[in-house]
Amino acid sequence: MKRAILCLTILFAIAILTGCASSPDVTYGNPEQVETVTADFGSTDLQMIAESMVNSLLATPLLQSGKRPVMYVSSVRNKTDEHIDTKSITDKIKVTLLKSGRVQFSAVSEANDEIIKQLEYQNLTDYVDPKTRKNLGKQVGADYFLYGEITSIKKKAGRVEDVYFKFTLNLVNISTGLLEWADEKEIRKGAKKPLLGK
Amino acid sequence: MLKNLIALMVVLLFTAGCGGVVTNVMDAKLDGSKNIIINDGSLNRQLTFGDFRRNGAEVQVELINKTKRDISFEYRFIWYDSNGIEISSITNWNPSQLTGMESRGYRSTPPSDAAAGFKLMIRKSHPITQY
Repeated sequence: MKRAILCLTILFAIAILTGCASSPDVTYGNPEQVETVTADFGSTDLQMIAESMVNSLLATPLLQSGKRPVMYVSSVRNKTDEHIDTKSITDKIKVTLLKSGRVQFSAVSEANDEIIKQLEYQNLTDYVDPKTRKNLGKQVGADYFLYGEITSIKKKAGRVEDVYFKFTLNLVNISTGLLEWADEKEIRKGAKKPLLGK
Repeated sequence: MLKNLIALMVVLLFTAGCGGVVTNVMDAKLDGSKNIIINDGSLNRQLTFGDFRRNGAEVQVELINKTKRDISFEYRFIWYDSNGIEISSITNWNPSQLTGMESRGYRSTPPSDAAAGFKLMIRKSHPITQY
């Protein structure tokens, strides 16, 4: 009996001391894993939205035709009450579409200042070999642009919280002004606070 | 009795962190051939692969809840080329749920023209809840 109590005490002491370690316990996680730390917008939501939008876009006849249309991303409005970096969602969509080889993206909307600065440097100064100068008036005009928004509906009752997100993305033909494609992704997350603790 | 209880507690303490999650896989080629690999028998008794269909650019695999309870699980599509090299850019696990006896189609689009087949992986819910 005394031995049993001693063993239990030692085990308990080890458990307590392990929690008192002076350095933080840091581990690398798997970015592909589902994350449910809170009901706020998270990495898994970003990935699910990007995958859904890309799957839908790649299946459209426009991107199956072999023509490689040129597009750019306009704005994705955050209409939720959380801070959401909508650019990280559209960047993921853009990277995946580019890798498909079926789309070209114009960088003008994001990097035009840099492009103009470089063109002026190459054409208005004598530093650059004329044989390698990039001439003005050669930018490719975009055929389409993407725009969208993310909204949310939050409800709380006692310990239960329910959050609904909806992400909508649209593809517009610049020449005609027609909406050529649109899709949306809905996500619902729930959280229940424990009886004790936070 | 107390000795057995202590031994059981020690075993539980040591094995609590050893749990892992395995996947069941449908390995399918775009020509329609498929192969199913079951690594988690208990998951397979609840959730099975159904038909694999192709509709032009998209593929759809049916997942069937064989129980009368709602089940939560995770799935992902990984595409590969004719040499077996993975070409998917988005490889995250997606959480999903099926109500009792429900079957539903899960769809994916080949990420590029090099796609020759895909693996649809399913596993029990295994989210990060805290570190």
